[in-house]
Amino acid sequence: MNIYFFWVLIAFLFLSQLLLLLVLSFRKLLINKKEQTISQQYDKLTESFSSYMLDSTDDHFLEELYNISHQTIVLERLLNHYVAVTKGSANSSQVTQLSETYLTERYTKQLKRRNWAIRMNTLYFIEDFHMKSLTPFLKEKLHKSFRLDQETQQLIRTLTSLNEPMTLSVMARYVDAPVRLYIDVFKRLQLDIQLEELDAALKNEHNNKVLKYAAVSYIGMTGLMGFLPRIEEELLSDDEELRIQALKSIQHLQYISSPSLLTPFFHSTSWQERMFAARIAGKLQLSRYQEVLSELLGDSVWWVRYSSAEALTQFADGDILLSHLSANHPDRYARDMATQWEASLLGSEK
Amino acid sequence: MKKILIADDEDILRILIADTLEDDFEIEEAEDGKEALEKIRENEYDLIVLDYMMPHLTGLEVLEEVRKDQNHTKVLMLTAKAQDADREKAISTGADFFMSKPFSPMELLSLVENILAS
Amino acid sequence: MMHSFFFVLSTLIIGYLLFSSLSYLGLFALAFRKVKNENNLVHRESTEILLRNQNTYPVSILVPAYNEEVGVVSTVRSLLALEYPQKEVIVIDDGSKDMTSEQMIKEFKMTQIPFAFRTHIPTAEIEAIYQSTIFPYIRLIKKANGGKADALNAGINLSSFAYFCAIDGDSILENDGLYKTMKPIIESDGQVIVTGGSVRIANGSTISRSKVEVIDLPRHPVVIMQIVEYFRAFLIGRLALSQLNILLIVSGAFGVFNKERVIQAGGYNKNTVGEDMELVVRLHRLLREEKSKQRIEYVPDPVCWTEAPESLEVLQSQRIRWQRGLFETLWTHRKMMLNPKYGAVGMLSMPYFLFIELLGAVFEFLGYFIIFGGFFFSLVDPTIALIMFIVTILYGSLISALAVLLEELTLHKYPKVSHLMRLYFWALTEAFWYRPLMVIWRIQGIFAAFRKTAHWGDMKRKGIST
Repeated sequence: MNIYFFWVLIAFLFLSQLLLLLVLSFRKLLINKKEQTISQQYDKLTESFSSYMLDSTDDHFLEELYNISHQTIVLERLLNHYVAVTKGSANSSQVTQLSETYLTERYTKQLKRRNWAIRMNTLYFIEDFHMKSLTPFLKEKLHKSFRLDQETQQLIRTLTSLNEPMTLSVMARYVDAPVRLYIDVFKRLQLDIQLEELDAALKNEHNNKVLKYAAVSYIGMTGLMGFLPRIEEELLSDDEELRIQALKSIQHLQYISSPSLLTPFFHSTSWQERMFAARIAGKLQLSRYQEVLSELLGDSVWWVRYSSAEALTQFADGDILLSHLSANHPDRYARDMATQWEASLLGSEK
Repeated sequence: MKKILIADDEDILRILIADTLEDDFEIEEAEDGKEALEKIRENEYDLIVLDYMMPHLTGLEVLEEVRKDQNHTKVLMLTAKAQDADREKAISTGADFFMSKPFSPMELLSLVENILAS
Repeated sequence: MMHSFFFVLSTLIIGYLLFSSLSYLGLFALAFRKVKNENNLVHRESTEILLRNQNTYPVSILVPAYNEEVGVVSTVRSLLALEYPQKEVIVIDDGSKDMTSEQMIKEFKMTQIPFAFRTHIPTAEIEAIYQSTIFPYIRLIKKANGGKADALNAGINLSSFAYFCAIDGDSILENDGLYKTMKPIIESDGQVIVTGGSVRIANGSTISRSKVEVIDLPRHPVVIMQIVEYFRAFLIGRLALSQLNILLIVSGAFGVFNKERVIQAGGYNKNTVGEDMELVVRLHRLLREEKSKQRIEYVPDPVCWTEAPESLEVLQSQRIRWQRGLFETLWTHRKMMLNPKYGAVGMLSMPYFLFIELLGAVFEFLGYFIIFGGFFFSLVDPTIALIMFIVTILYGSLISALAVLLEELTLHKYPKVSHLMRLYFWALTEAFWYRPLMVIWRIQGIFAAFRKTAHWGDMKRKGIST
């Protein structure tokens, strides 16, 4: 072993580290300085910005904005905070106008950058600021993409929020498109188009199961009562996953036109179906199912036992029922579960 | 003119609310729970707009203090979606009204007008 | 004869140190691109997912507490502020001698409730259970002392939800920390049964109500060195272990667990000091033996802040404990070592933890021994001793210093130029004081593990959060 080799190695490493340290310190200095200026300018503009957002004739803000050095970044931050705290800002003409005037160019460039995080953030901002001016550019980008990675998913969300239902047909190209992405898309569609698309999805016009699951699930989440009969129809489907989604939806909608529709699910072979049936019986206080709920308290799956006990607490006489069951249920696990819920009822009443 | 305190740590939101309300009411602002409490101890307000989550002292803690000696002051709590579950607690502590973030300034204005008219 | 033995030994150790240094460099280079890529992403999907999953995946948060009357209330308060739709908090007073329970009862207006849970895992005697009248989802278990693992098991017994996480009194979860850690579980529809997130050192920074307000460096060099250690581990962990899904949770990390699986595996092991790591390895083993498709995932984002020890004494006992825990875990599951049946965990993680984390200390110690022996007692050729010295500096100081620089290049979490300078220069000193100390303590830990195996069960516990 040659000692000089090691000396040279370590000296080389050390010196190159020192050089890197100097460069990084200098960079940090510059970044900090820039950040300081930006936050000063941000603070200075907050007041006039909010006046402008409330009343666009008060254009004092535009003047101030014109005179600062970090125009786009400061504006981006102001708008970003604004949309985070106010509702309906997607339709605010000021947000769209300001962002389209000052940020279109910057964002077009950023979307071509190699840095993934920058591109992602840009997509978020375009959605938040509702920048329709970028639609053609984004569409082109979506057509060119061939993998449903995080970026493409966000691209789909962003484009949908700009009222472009074409994203649904693009998604159909990807067999692995997850339910949650379809739900995100439904959520972003304009109401009239949304109803049309939900209808089409329930009819399974596109022969796309995942799309149908998403539609059923979305209807429950948002409480679109008008679709209830269609959801109830799905309870009779052959597809177990679809039935589960329909039950979940009904649980959220908190309504069922004929409670007897539930009966077969209490003895289903799928524990999720038993669980949701129990939950619905509790939520809707269907006293005719009290007996079967007591039975399910001794189910082999924890979730079913848990949900049945929870359902029993919803009835006016739930505490009496539970205390009876905690002493007399033939199953030990059932007695435990009943005791646990009875205790929590007691604890929260005091 | 009725007097309102707005306590929220989010700059833009606080200024927006203040701008919206200042034509019709006398407005004071606080940037965190601690400042809010100090102002409440020194002044009498008709309404306190209180953010649920603030640094130093949460809205809930401020509310607890307020309710120790001021029962007539109305309190409007601003909550984020994720805290909706805690509303019950806020009601039992003495919050009178709620508004979920995000909201539009105009919604807030009409709620505040209603509260103070009654 | 003696000389040639030491010559061979020296060559081996130099080879080991050089090889480890090179693997660090390689891993850094790989990690660099990935970290750089993900840095600075605006996190904002969080609320969206939460809203979508209104009632799914509720989590029980377990807080084991032993003599924590000072901190327990503020810990629980900060947990209440977490952004997560459905959660419950269970504090387990593990036979404290102070007013831990009394503080909780007073602050949250708790009342005693009947014993109502199923003993999935046997624990020391439960004395009483309380529930808060203000926040019904806060409960308190008062039990006889049985150690941290026993306290956690009691918490698991009482918890109502299908997932739980454990947090120490001296750690603070970030606002969206629980959400970030649950995300892989939610998105995989339960196929992920454990997620672990990394922990950052809070000393020096100002944190209030689950929010980090000012990030600053602590004064104390001992803590600065622990931060440097964290950088080193972070860059490695970020890539190698998380990408290959072979992470064995390192002591002190934060994790969410699937309760049913944990109960099936028998809960936390009371006979080891590294109960969290041991449990994760046991779950890995269970999954492999069942040939299950479920998996364990690592969240590279730091989700939790913890107070690092400032005194050498506490640090020493912590390191001895970690090393002992590591040893016990590897020993308990030695069957997995280099066993292809256990996949990457058996073939990569276990050997990594054995050779780098556990035995590394032994090699390094022999290295120091040879340096001294060579310089002062002509045990080996002074040239060899000198080479050993240089390589030790390379392995100890320069790699750590590089980790500091890479952190600055990618994440730059510490805001000031002076922070960078201080971190860098302290990192350079590592080989001269901090590393030797660690090496000695880690070796002590190995001895402690041997001694303990000799009289099993004679467990004296230190406070939970040392």
